[in-house]
Amino acid sequence: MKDIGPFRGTKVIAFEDDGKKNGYAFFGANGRGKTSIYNAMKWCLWGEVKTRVRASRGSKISGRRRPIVGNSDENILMNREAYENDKIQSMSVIILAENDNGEIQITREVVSKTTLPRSDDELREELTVVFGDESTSDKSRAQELIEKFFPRELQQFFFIDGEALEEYTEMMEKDSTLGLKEEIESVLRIPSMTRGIKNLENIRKKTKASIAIAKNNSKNFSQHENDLISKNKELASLNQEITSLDVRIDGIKSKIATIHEQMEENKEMLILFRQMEEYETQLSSAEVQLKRSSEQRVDSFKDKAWKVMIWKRVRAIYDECESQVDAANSVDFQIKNLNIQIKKSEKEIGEMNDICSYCDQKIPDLEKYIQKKKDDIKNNKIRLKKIQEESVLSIDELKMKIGKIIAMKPGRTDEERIGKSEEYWKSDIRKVKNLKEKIEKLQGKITSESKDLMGELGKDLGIKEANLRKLQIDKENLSSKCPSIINEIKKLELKLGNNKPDSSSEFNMDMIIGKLIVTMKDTMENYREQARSLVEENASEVFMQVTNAPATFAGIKLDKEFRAQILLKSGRIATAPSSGMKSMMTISIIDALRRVSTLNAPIFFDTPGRSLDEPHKIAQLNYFWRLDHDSQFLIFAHSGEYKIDTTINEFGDRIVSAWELTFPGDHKKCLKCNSENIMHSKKQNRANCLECEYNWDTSEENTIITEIKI
Amino acid sequence: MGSESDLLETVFFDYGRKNNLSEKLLREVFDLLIDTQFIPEGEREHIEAQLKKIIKNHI
Repeated sequence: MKDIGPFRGTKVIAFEDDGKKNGYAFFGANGRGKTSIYNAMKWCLWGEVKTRVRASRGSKISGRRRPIVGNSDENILMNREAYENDKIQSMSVIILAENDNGEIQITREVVSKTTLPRSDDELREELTVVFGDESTSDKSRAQELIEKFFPRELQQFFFIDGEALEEYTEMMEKDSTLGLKEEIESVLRIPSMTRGIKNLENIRKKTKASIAIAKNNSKNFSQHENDLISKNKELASLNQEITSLDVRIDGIKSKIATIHEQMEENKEMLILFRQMEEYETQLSSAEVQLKRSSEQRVDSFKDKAWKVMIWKRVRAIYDECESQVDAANSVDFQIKNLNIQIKKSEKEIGEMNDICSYCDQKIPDLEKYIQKKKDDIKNNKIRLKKIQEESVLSIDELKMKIGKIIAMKPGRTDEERIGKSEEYWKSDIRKVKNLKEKIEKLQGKITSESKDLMGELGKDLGIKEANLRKLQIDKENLSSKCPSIINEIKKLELKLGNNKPDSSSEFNMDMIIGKLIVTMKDTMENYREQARSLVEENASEVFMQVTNAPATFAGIKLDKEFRAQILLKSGRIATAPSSGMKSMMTISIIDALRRVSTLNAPIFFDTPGRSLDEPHKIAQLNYFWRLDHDSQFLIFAHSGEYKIDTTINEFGDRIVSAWELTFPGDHKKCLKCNSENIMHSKKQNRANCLECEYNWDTSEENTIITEIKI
Repeated sequence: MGSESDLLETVFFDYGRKNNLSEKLLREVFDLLIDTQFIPEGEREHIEAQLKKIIKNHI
């Protein structure tokens, strides 16, 4: 251990066991560090040291955690000098232990994170445990390994505090359900069952939840399974229908092929037949066209054709009339002109003088001139008469005639249109006639049997091809449904997975857990009573060994709540036992519990003789330091409890090692040469060895551990 | 050290056998629970896992 309590620097204490003796003892006055060694081990094991447990009205009041560092008024765990003077404060304890499970090394250390830590929060704690091949600094795991060796819950049964024995005794006597019952149940390992039951109940709860889920999954699985079966059936049915269609399609294709073969056999006939079919088709079309052109022809002839035909004859008359009109117009002009000339000439003759009316010159030969005029009149009249005699019809008559003729005149394009209609009609007529002729010729070449055969084959082929097409469409429709069904099947298969939900393992697990819980509850119920009886028996056995009045007492009586009383030989309960007797009762019960619990740890007993009288002190050491005792037994005794010399003399043959804890100022001998020739200077707080001249500070309160020679 | 025979173990095995549980299962469960009896309730998840594993192995 290093820098803990009054121990400055590193101190090593070896508790090696020779396998025969089991006694160890620390002796020291108050404040020399007996309890600090005891606490150093507790701190190393569980990381904390608590102030003493107190009893109040039979109930346990837990101790307060002691600080590692703190103010001067606090009882800190760290060595005060180290805390106040070291640059980096630290405290550490290493425990090496061995039992049937193997060896364990536990190292716990705190190091300051600041120059002067004012609270434990300013310390960094490290814990390392090496157990067998395992080495861990994980605090949780390390603590778990420690608990296997030194269970914290059982510490009262191997770290026994003599100063607390009175409180323990009070707790064991009082009628209280609190008291030490919890600790006693712990030492009897009842928590293994209670905690185990809780663990199993948790597992069972989860298992039941799994079963419920599995049931639900199973239900869903069955539903999916049914859906899958249904979909598979649907798909199978579709495939069957498709296969059936395929068969029918193949059959029809085969028949069509046969028809084609038959047709191929009548290839020449087929050509003719096809040719005739083509002609017939063309004829049908041509007849339709002819009908149309006939209608157009009739339509174009209607109210027009007669005009065209008549006009061809009347046109000449019309033209004659027109020319006659022109001639009549000319005659009329001539008549009028001749009349004007005659009148003019007559007038000229009547008014004639010898002056020329044209040139206003004197006419040389007037008579001759008049005669000439008269001749002109005469000639003009002759011409007039002749013209009048020649004209047949008048202009008006002619115009009336022309009007009648014009009513018969066709439209400008009528003739052309009629002509074209006629032309088309004739062309269609020709086409129809030609086709009919061709068909007649082909009919001559095709026999009626062949015609019938080809007709039947063609008809059959048509029906079959129509059926084939219908079946192919049906197949396509059915095939188009398949992908969605296959997709649904895949989805269902995916949901179902590879394994059917099986909750049988959960059922079995639930059953086993149930049996284990029943086993553990029955165990607890019966073990508690059996253990009580066994503890009572063991405690009585111990008590009878440590009591100074074995003739008076019969043992210890423990009730169901582990309340203890001393039993007299008479069978009655001791009503007023001494405090020493009560302490021995408590120690007896503690050791009995430790034995029944199979707890395999050394016993550390601080101030073991505090409340005992001399005979009981001796009886106690006689019991625990006996050669056949199965545990190491360490006492941390005040000089007043057990005298060093007396104890060594009395029990030297049972003690493996013993140490004295002192301050430098306690020493009457030289720390170096062990000479008694010492000179103390109280004023200077120093001691000087007159033999070897070694001197030391007697005011220091750092404990020196000195092994006692046995 | 300890008592010559372990009473708790004896009682536990007696009742376990009465409930038709195998010796091997009882041994594994008992050893685990004894080894971990002082681990507080809030830190026992891994113990539950181990218990579950032990029981599963015996189905």
